[in-house]
Formats: sequence, structure tokens, C-alpha cells
Amino acid sequence: MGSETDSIVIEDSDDSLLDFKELNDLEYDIPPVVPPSLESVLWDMESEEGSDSTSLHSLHSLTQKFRSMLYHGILQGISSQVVSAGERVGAGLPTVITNSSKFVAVGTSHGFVLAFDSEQKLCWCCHDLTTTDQGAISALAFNLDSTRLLVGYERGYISMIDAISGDVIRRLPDAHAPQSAVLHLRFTSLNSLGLSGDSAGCVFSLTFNRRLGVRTWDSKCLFSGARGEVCIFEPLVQGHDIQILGPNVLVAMATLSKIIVVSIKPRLKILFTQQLPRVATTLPVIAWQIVSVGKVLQPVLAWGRNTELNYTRVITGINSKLRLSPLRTVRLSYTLCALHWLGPRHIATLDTSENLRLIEVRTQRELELLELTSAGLVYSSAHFKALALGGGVSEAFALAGERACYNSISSRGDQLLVLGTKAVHLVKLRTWPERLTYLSEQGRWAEALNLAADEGINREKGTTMLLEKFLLSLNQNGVDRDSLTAAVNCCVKLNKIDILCNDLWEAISADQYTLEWYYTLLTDHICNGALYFLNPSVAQALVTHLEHKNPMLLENVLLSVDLSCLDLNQVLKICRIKNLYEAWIHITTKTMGDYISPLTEFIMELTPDNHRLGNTLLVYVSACLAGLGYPHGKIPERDVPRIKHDILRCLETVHSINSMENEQSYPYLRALLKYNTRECLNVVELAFKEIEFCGEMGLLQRQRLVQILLQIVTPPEFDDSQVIILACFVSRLVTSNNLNAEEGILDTVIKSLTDMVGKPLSLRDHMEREQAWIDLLNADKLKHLSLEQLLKMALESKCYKVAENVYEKQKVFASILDCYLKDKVRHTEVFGYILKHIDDSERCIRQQFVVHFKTLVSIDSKKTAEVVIEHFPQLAEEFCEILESDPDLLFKFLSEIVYSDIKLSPRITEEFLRLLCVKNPSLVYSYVKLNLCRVEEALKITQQYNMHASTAFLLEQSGDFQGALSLLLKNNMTDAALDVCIRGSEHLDAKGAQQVWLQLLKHPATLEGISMRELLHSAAPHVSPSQLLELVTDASLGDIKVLIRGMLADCQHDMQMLNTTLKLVGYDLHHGLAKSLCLHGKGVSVQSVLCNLCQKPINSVLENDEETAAIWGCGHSFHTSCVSALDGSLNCPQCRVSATHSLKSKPSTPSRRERVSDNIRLRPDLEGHF
Amino acid sequence: MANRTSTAQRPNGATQGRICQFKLVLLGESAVGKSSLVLRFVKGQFHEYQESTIGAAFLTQTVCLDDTTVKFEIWDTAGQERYHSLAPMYYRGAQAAIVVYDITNQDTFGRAKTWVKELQRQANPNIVIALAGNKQDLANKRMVEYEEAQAYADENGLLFMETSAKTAMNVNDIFLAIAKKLPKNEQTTGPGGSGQGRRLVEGDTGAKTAGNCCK
Repeated sequence: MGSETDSIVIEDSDDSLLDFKELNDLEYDIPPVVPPSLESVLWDMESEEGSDSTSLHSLHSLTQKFRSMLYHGILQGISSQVVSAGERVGAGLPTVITNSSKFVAVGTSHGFVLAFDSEQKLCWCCHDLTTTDQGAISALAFNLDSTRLLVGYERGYISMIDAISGDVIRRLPDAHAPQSAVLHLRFTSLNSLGLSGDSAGCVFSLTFNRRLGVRTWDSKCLFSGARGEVCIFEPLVQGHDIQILGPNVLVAMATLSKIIVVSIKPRLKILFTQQLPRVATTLPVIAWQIVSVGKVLQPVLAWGRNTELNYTRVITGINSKLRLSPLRTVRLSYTLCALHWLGPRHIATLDTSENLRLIEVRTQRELELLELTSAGLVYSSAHFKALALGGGVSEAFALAGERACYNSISSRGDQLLVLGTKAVHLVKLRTWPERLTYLSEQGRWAEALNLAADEGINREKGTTMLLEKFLLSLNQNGVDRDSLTAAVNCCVKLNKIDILCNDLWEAISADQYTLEWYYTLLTDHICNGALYFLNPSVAQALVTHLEHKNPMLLENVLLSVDLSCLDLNQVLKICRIKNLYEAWIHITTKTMGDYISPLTEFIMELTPDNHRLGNTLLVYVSACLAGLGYPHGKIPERDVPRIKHDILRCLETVHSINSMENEQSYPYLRALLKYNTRECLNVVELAFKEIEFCGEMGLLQRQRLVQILLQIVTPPEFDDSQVIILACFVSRLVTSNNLNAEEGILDTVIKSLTDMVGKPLSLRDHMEREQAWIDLLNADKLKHLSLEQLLKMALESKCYKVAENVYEKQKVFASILDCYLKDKVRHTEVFGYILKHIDDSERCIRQQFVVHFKTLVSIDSKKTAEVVIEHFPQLAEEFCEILESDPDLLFKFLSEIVYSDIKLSPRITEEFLRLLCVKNPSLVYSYVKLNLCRVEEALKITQQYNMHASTAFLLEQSGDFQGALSLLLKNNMTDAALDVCIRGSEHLDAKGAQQVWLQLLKHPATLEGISMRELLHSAAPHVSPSQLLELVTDASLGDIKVLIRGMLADCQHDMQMLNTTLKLVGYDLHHGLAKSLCLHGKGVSVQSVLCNLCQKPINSVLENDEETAAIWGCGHSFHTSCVSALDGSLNCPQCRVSATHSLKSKPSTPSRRERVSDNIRLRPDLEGHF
Repeated sequence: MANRTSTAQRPNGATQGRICQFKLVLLGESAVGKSSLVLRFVKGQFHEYQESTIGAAFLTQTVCLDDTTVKFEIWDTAGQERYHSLAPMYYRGAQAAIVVYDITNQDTFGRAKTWVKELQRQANPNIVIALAGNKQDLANKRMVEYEEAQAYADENGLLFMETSAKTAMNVNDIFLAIAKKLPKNEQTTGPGGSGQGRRLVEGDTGAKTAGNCCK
């Protein structure tokens, strides 16, 4: 019955509302998931009203300036009726709101219940006279079919109302614990089963029956508040058509500490519990939603408290066993106050500052924020504290309930009803078409179009409509950049080429500035590969635009756009004028399949410095010969052989079609070779790897092509290096057996390889030439020439590497070294050769080394020296003689060898010293220090070259400090002089030292470089103070001051030292005393009272007062007389324990000889008194 | 374009603002005057020494026909032999074709016949083909008789006119004749057919119509 009326109502409302602006065909684009509900109707009415009412409009503009997901409006009909009920019949303020798919019910503080239908008309108003004493309505709940309404009062009364007529049909005065307010009422999916919760924290199940026409009810406690007070519970309500859970009825409950999910049917069973964050001032929040996960529908429970939000899903296991598994936990930056799903993909949270946030569940992204402060949200904290019943609620419950708004926000589907003190607010999630409409109505085209582009792929109609609307607005209002960008983006993304190229283009083509921007956008999209096809008109205009602006960009565009939309006549002409070779080749080859014309078209323009064209053509030819498309892509498989053949034939053409009379043969290949011989040959070489050049036929092809190449590349048109490059190329082919070594070919090649070259070759060419020659030689392709001839040719053309190879073959090793030395490029490699073969007696390296020694040194003295040091140390002297005539080389050689371990005669080392003095005086001193030379000789040399430092050093060596000092002082080398003095004072006797120092001090230049104080300090030990003072007296006042201050400082320092020492000594003394005091303060136990020597009791002797006893730390005791009779040793006579002997006159105070124990008591106060 | 703007602003101009867009291709031997013909039609100009077309050139022209605006997208193909392989790219999606020959050159007429055959075989079956015997101003050097061509045209169901780009004779007429013959009411656009004829309905973008059609 319920479902039937449902559909009727909906159809009615649908029809009646069809004319409204909001319910346009956009709606039809979305498949209806649920039958239209009350909310959709309300929403449509509201938006209608909203557009009329200015106040609401201002609200819009305030709250929704930058967002479009959430609609926020006031349900004017309901609000005004509630207010007027309060004013006219004394219904009081609204306290509770709930809604079903058909009705909205509002409860008031004076026990009135107002029910409204889908058109916000008041259906009925119920004010039960029997319950006037029950106070405010505190809870309301519709059943799933919208046929029954449960009403709960703050004094605990519950009644059931027929939702259609408004009559009370059941009264439940004592359904739950007495003296507690009803806080929650809910129907489960079953009409006969309801749930109630009260301020005692208990949950009751209410069962409704109808026996023999009499309506009965029964209540049962499900959860007692004694075990934890339930703040909120929410049964999982599934529609009649959805049967995921079978017969199970799930209820989620939240106490102050835990979340509990129980199944109450068919059996009561706890399925899930988890701790909630303990925050005393906030209530837990829970909300169910059935979400489709893939193709399966799954109930998901969102629950949380304070700043924590959790998602838990219900999984139906095997045997339809239910299981809950946590999905995720989210930390929020605000405190949760309410939580409601808005459709299966979004969740709305309300924080304590009354901000409603829309969150996308999958990403947990906060999409929008809506301030609800202005709504004046109703809180039911009074019910939570059960104020009407005089309290009696636990403190924790009352504290947590401070912000309870469970019953003032009601959600269904994607809408939320918010009960404010003055009005009922509707918050709704806009659907995609609604958002488009909303944004476009506000003129926010950029946002609307971007939204359409993002999600419009499957929603053709909405997007098209939007674009058309946009175009209309364009015609009227003009366009801004952002919206144009968005529109183009949208068209490209949704492949609306028609709109992009016709309507949009025409709409903006009047404005040059916009048009340019449009072209920029198109270019971007084309270059990104997003846009492939254009309308020919637009393509034409775009090409014209780019032709002047950016030809390179034009080339890119041409390469990536569909060719059938191009005006080829225009484009190809532009390409020719702007030299867009790639685009030209691309278009000609792709459209006409003409692969020859790129060659024939451009070849006359190819000059050696037109690199762009040259390289383009080379790559093009190479690509074609390899069967690849140019500049990218592939040639259709079946065309490949034809194209390869065409290109090859074109290259081998003797004369072009429109040849002039003076045209040279093979114009195309010739032009390419002329442009860049090496690269062109590389292209050919690459092509030779293709299948066309394999096998018998291929060999002939190759042969033919090589013949042609040899014909073309001839002097004087081609220079020597180009000829040689070709020769190298051919010889590579010959040696790798890719070409038959025909006599003719070979001769030409060898001739070009071996010919004398007029112009010097580049290094690379020369090396390649040598390599080619050697390869031919090694491959035995030069059999018709004798080795002698080859050698002669090689030497003539300075191909020493070739010569070396010939020598190797002839085994004339003696000349090999020569080859290296003559070859300027390779002469450094000679050392490698020497070291490699040094032990090979056949090659006589040693002799050659000696012969060419001079040259070798001039090539690399370091390496030569290394060889000498390593292999010919004994010949060092001989080598030096060889170099005698050339001091430069000798110096170089010696400077390498002198520092090595080789023992050299003093003659050579002195010779080196002499050379060093001439060539690098700065190193003389360090060299002299090595003591490699005879002192006298060295002295002579250094004196000769005025190397004073070295001379002084040598003098010092020979013991002549005086001489060294005077020399240094004469040359003002005071630092060195000071060093000499310091060293000298160590070696000389006191008198000599004093003399040296005085000499230094008396020198006038001394004080320039060295501070007086330092000087006096150094001198003080060697010179008597009186003499020093004498020296000082004739110094200036400033110097004396420094001197005296230095002396005073010294004195002070000495005194301080003395003090410290005294202190240390005193401390030691005090420490010793303390130790001994400690020792004497301890008792010693005596092992026996007998003297260990005389074995008589000690006491017996002690009658005599003069007798004393001696006791050691080891416990042995003796008569003093007995001990003294032994010897003077202080050790215990018994066990030889050493101890300081101490005697006491009284045996009653035995002396103490123990080792130092750890508890020495120090007397700090006595410290320092000794 | 001006046309469109005005119709767009007219609220109930559903019948007046109809714009049909057609793709038209010109075929024929080189130097028969295809480009001249188009140039005369589109710009009203004539160059004695028209340089030869490379590949194909693109032009548009709009003609008004009773209550309909017909927009021609004209592809003027190159006549030279080397560009013949290009032609299918253009005539395949075309709704109309003009095959041009030179009345002073019998060979071009023969060539025109092969074009017609190719079109009948490979182009859109509903394509409207017109045969134009150009260079009528040189009638004294005529090599192809009017009757002969007319007979051939009748035989193959072609529109036929002798034209002169130089004197503008029959130039607009042949295009108009084509425009008239083109089916303007039936939807010629295939799904996703790029560049094919489209019928644009302007001035009625309201939700109601669309909504009704969906009901």
C-alpha cells in the first residue's frame, strides 16, 4: 500500500513541477537510482522560490560565492507554518525534526507535532491532550513506508501516530525506564520493530502487534544504561528492494566510551565493538550508508568522536555470517558535532562552530564549507540533561550532551534538513547537471566548462547544452580568456570538434585579441596530441595565423594534425617559402605517397652550409631506405619495398628530369655527398644492412652503388679528405667482405689512400686513412703491391702507423721506434712501445733507446726518466753525457732523475745544482738541503750564483756559523739569521753562542722583521742580561718598554708558578697527614696475646712500665724488646708484612700498621695551613 | 556569419535560421579552370594566369536559397597527375562534386568521364555530381560539342552547364543548382562523420524542446 501511494505522489509532483526551470531535461541524463523523493520535490520548489526571493539570493551570494556543490536554502513553507503555529496556537519553539521519503515532521516545545507533505503543505497538526503534561517533543521517527510516526516526549512518554491522518493509534506511557526523557526513536526496516533510547542511557526495542484488531506493543530492554550510557543509536535501514543483510537487523550504538554494533534479529548478537576517543565534552556520532563497492552493495558505518572519523563496512561472509571490518580512520582538524551521509559518495560533517563541511569519502578531500551559524541550530541539550524531569542524569552524560543535535538535523538521500530556531534549512548536494546549470546561470563559465570537461565524457547531452548556452552568452556578452580556455578544453576533451570549429570560432572571430588566444589554445592542444582533426576553415585560418607568427610552431602543428583538414595548396606553398622541410616532406609523402619529390624538390637548394636542409634530407633518405616514416611513424608495410626502390633509383639517377645541359651526373647523390660526405656514406652504410642489399642481388646492388660513389667523388670537385673518406668507406666494406674487391675499385681506393695529399688532413681523416690502409693490409687485399712499395708510399704520405705495420711484417724492428718518433700524433705512445718490448732482445730496444735518447727526452722527459730509473739506472751517467750539449734537456732529465733513488756521481749533481741556479733558483735551497753534492763544490757554485740562503746553509754545514750569519745579515735575511743563531747556540760553546747572538742583535736590520721581545727571549739564555741591557740602552724608549714589560710579565709568571707549586706541596702534605690520621684512628685486632717471637704473654712483661708492645696490621704482636733484638727492618718478623713501624708506650692503645684504607677522612679546613 | 548571429538572436527563428553545410569537391584535368571557377564563385575574381594548385585548396562560400543558408566547403583539388592519389581523401566525404573539363580540349572531357566513373564507384552514393564545361568564352575553339556533353550528363544523371570563369557565365548558377539539388531536410551526417554535411538548428536551445524529445 505504502509503495503505491508513494509512486502516485511522486508522479503527481513530477508532472506539476515539470514546467519549472530547474527540472529541465538535464535531469534525464542521469539514470534515476532512487525514485524521486520528497527532497527532490522540495528542492525544486525551493530553487524556484530562491530565484524569486531576494533575501535568499543574498544568502546564496554570501555563502556560495566560490562553490557549487552544496545548495543551501530555506524551506519557506515549513518555516512559516512552524513559526505561525508557535504564535497562534502556542505550539512553542521547534525542537525536533525528522523526515521520511514523503513527509517532514517537526516537533515543538509544547508537545505539538506538525507534519508537512512534499509541497510543504501542512498535512496535520497533532496535539495530544492526554500528553500535555509530557512537555516538549524530544524525538520523532517515521517508519520506512512513511505510514507511522513515533513521538517521544521529554518526560518519557511515547506515542505512535498514523502518519497519514495524524491520529494517535498507540500510547506507550511506560515503555522504558521511568524518570528519563526519550532521546531517540527509530524504526528499523520492519514496521513492527522500533527502538527507543532515553536519558538513562538505555535502549529498548519496541515491538508492535495487532491481535484481533487490537493494537498492542511490547518493550524490551536491549541495552541497560548501567553498563554504559548509550548516547546515540542508529539502525541500518535498508529499503524493501535491497536485501543485503537478509533477516538481520543491525543497530549501531555509541556509548560514552565505545561503539557497539549489534544484530537484534534474528538473535541478539554483538558484532563489533571499538573504543571511542575519550573526550568528555563531545558526543559520538554515527551514520549508516549503503555504498556500492564494485557491483556489490555494502553497508558502511561512519562513526567518530571529537576529531576522529572512522569508516567500517559490513561484509557478508559465508553462511551469510556478518562481519565488520574497519576501512579507514581519519583525523580531522575540527571537532565533530554531527555526521550525515549525503549520497553514497559524500559525507557532511558539522563542527562545533556550526560549519558544515562536504567531504568526498573516497579521497577524504574537503570539497566545500558552508557556514550554518546563521541558521540558529536547535540543540537538545535540555533533553540530554532531562531538565524537565529534574535532572537525574549522570554528570558525564549531561556534559557530553551539551551540544547534542541528533534530532535537529535529519538527512535522507543527498539532502539534509537543518532545524533552526526560526526556519528549516535545506542543504542539498547538487548533481552534476544541477551544478552546470547553477554555474552557468551565475555566468561562471570557466568553472562550469571545466566541470563539464572533467566529468562530461558520458554525459553528452548536458555538455552540449552547456556549450550551446555558453555560445549564446558569448554572442551577447563577449568572452574572457578563462572561459574561452575552458570552453576549448572542454570541446577538445569531449571531442566536440563541430562546436569548437564552427560555433565557437564564429562567435569569437570578430575580436582579434580573443581570436589570437583561441589560436594559441588550439596550437597547444594540437601539439599535445589532444586535438587531431580541425575544421578546414579553422585549420586554414590557424595556418595563416601561425605563418607570420611562428613558422617553427606551424611546422609542429602541421606534423601533428590530420592532413585531410589542411588546405594543401596553402600549406605546401607556405612550407616552401618558410623552408619548413619536415612538414613539407611529411605532407607530400603521407598524402601523395610521393617519396621522391622531397629529394627532387630541394636538392638544388642544398648547399654545404644549409645544415637544416642537409640533415633533414640525409635523415629522410636514411629513414626511407630503412623503411621508416619521416619524421616519425611507419610507412605502410606494402609500400616499403616500392619506396626503398624509388629512393635508391632516385639516388642512382644519372640525370634529373628537367636537367640542364651542364648538369653533372648523379645530381642527387652528388649533392648529398657534397653536403656531407661522411654522413652521406654513413647513410649508405646503414642502408647496406637492409634486406635489399643482402644476398647475391644485394651484393651487385652494393657494387653498383659503390661504383657510382667512386665515380662521383673525384677531385677536383671533391677535396682530398672527402676522397679519403670514401676510400675508407670502401675499404671497410672490402675488409668486412661486404664488397667484392674488384681490381678496379681497389686500385682507385688504394690510389686515393696512398696518394700524397696536398692539403694536410684533419687528424680524424688521417687516422681513418691509416686504419683503412692497415685493415686492407691485414686483410691481404694489397697483395699486388710489394711491402717495399707500400713502405715507400706510407713513408711518403707520412702514414707511419702503416709503416710500422709494414716493418712488423718485414720484421725490421729497428725502424719501428723511428715510426713512432716521426709521427707527431703518436710519438707519446713510443713509451708504451718501449715498455712493452723492453725485454725483447730481437727489437734491440736498449740500443735504440740510447740512440734516440735525446729525442725521447724532448718528447717527454718525465716518461724517459721513468724508463731510465726503471730499466737503465746504470746508464744514467752515460745519458747525462749525451745530453751535455743541450742544457735544457739535461736540466729536464736531471730534474726527474735527481730526486730518484739512483746514485749519481757528485759531478752530475753539482752540474744539476749549477743548472738549477740558472733555471730555477727558487728550488736551489731545497735541493742543497738534500746534501747530494760535495759541500765545497756546492759552496763554490752557490757563491758564484749568489744563492745566499743556500750558501749560508752550506757554511753552517761546514761549521762556519759566523760566516753564515754574516752572509745572511749582509743580505738582510734576518729570519734565516735568527734560525742560524738558534741552531748555532745548540752547537757552539757558550762564548761562541754569545758572540753569534750579539752579532745578530747588533745588526741594525734585525729588529725590522722580528719583534724585540721574541728576539730577547731567544737570546736571553745565551747572552748575559747586562750585555742585553747594554744593547737595549741604545734602543728607543718604546723598545725598552716592551723589554721591561716582558721581564715583568716573566717575573709575574714565575711568581705565579712558585705560588702554585707551594700550594701543591702544601696539599700533598695535608693529604699525607690526613692519611696518617686516618690510619691511626683505627683499631687492630690482635690474634693472640702472646709475643710471636718469645711466646710469652705480652701482659706478663707489661708489669714493668717501661716495656712496650709492637703490633702490626697483620695482627701479630711482639714485645718491643724482642723486635728490636731482631734487626732494624720494619717488616713484621712473622709474615714480612711491610708497614711503617710505630711504637706506642701503652699496650692498651695498640699502634696501627695497616695498609691505607679507602676511608681516609680529609680535613679540608686544614688544607693549606701546613 | 552575420547571418548566424542574427538568427541566433531571433527567439523563434527555427524555420528561417537553418544553415546547411556541405562539402563540395572540384575534379578534373589540370588547366581546365577549376581554381578559376572557384575563385570566380567565391571572390568574384578572375586571373588570366592562375598558378597551378598544389594538392588541394580549401575555400568556403555561403549562398542563400529561399529560407536556407547553404554553406559550401569547397575543396579545389589539383589537376596534375601526381596529385590524383589525393582525390579520394576529398571526395569520399563530399556531398557534391563538380567535374570540370575544357570545351576546347577533347582529352579533358575524356578525363572528366573517368572522374565521374570513379565518383560513382567510390564516393558517397548520394553525391550530387555536376559536369561543367569550362572556357565557354573560347567557344570558337570548341572541341567538345554541347550536345555530346549534355547527352552524357543525362545518361549519368549529372547536372550539366557550360561555364566561363572569365565571363562569370553560369558560375553561380551551377553552384546554386547544386545547392538546390542537395537534400537539406534529411540528416546527412553519419555518426562522427567529420566534415560531412551538418544541419544546424539555431534559435531553439530551450530546455523544453529537448526535454520533450526525450520523453
